Amino acid sequence: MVPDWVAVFLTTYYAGSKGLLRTQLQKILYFASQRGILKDSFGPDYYGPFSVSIANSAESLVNKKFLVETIEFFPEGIGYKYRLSDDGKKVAPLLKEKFNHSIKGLKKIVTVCKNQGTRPLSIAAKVHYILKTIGAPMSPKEIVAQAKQLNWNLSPDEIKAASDLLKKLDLIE
Amino acid sequence: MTDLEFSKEVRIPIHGYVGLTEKEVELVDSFCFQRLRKIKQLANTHLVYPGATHSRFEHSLGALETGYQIARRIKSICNDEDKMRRLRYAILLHDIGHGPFSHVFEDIVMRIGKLKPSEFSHELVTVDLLCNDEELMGILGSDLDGVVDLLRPTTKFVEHHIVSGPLDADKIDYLQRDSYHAGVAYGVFDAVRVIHTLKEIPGGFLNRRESYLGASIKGREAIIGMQLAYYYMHEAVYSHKTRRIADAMLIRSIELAATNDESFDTNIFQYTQDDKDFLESFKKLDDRKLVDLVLESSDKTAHEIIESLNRRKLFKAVFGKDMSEINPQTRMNLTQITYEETKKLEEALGEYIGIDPNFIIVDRQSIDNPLYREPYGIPKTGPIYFETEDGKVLEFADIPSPLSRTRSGSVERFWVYAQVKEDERKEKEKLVEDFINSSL
Repeated sequence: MVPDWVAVFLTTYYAGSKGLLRTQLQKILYFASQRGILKDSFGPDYYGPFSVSIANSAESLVNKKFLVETIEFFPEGIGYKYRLSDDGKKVAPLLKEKFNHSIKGLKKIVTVCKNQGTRPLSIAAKVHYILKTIGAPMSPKEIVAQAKQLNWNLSPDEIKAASDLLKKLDLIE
Repeated sequence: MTDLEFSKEVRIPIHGYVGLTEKEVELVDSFCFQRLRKIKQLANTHLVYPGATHSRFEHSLGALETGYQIARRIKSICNDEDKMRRLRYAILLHDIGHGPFSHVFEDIVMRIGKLKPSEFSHELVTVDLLCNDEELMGILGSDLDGVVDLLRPTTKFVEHHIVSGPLDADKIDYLQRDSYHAGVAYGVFDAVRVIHTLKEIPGGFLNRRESYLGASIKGREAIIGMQLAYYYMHEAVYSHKTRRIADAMLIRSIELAATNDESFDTNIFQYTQDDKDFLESFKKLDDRKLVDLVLESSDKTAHEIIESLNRRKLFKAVFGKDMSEINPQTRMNLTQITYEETKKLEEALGEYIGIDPNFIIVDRQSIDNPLYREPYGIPKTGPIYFETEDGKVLEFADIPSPLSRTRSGSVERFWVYAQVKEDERKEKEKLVEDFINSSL
């Protein structure tokens, strides 16, 4: 397992120049934590699984000027986007080399997720969280019902898309 | 609403009279609680702000009053006599696990006992004391389990968030109290408005019964003010450079005494959960006694450092830079540096600049972003939630505010402190700068 700050650093590195929104970063690292790449510090949140430790690590890397944080405005609110700074680009290959063995699989997760919007990623993470918590196979109908109980409104179509994404990530069969 | 019958009132700064029930008077009179009179709330901060000599005792009473004001606004608590009583006990007792010099003691135990933050904290000792101290157990009687649950919850409800959370009674009190005693205005915010707008927000996660202490959207400005107060108090008071140097000197002197003096009783720093011997030694410790332990040790260097601290002859900062100003490769190395590597760095620096390494302290400072973190870098409280007038729940970071637009609050710095004479300072500063740029 890699420290959270290394996971944030290298996830942003793999995401390339487009960078990642905070929700994308959180959900990608949630999936990575389920693959054992980093510690699972995620707890339930209104926005789906969320890790304060990951938020802190991103903040710390911004402070150290390894990441650049920009604010983007969307009709539904504010979004924080993270990219590697020039300094970050200089040291990322060294970091990648040092942790190469432990981050196996991270690049694939980022590649699959980086062009997904925040909502599909968030729904996939919520679906995975429900499946993990219940600990048994569930039909889309059951997931919808369970999600409703949790004040998460998911449609069957969204759950289908989420399941496809989770399969691509080898998180469900 | 349940009216409490107070048998005593105590007058303290900020709140005026604080009412105590008969049982609460017994708790206040207990050995463990009275001990808090001898533990300064802000450790060595009085070396910067001479007024900041107030104690954990006073703060605990202030937190009780603040918590009561909050709880009276939450229907599910104020209509339940048992819940209100246990909540008041938990808030009153929340700091009894603090060791000498408050949070500094946590650093000392973690270093000497080689423990992680999750393995030692004043919160853990508080619960240990409640579960093992016969006097406290006798007073709390059948309320003991309920009080312990409030301090060490498995599932969090609104009452747990009043004890510990981003808007808890602890913070609302200490920001105002520490500011008052330090003689600064950084911790002043509209606490009346904050408390007035606090409300219970239902969870709706996997356990539907969970609930949060959030705020009505109308309280946004007051809560932004509180978050700014939190940040500025860290910048100007809690993490003041001189206070950091003084705390670091205290820790160094104890480390030296514990390492080099075989007769020094290190059991007081060897924590394991529910260890009765540790708890008995712990209860006897306070600020003065910890300093006396170093003075009684045979280690001359430890003596010299603690005597210097007593006379306010402090180490000087010979290097201090924002981490972002250090070259990228060195910055990355410093990001990964371990405790053992820090020690090696101090030794190498000492050799390079001609100072005994015991008199050099390397310090990585992090001033938290108030949006995410607890004091002293313990990120446990999670986000602050607001409820809009149409019932939608939003996270603090996602509502427009001066903080969400700038987010320049956090700072991470790298310091080197050393015992240097004023006339040598410039020369040593240059040597340290050269060393850091060329050797890391």
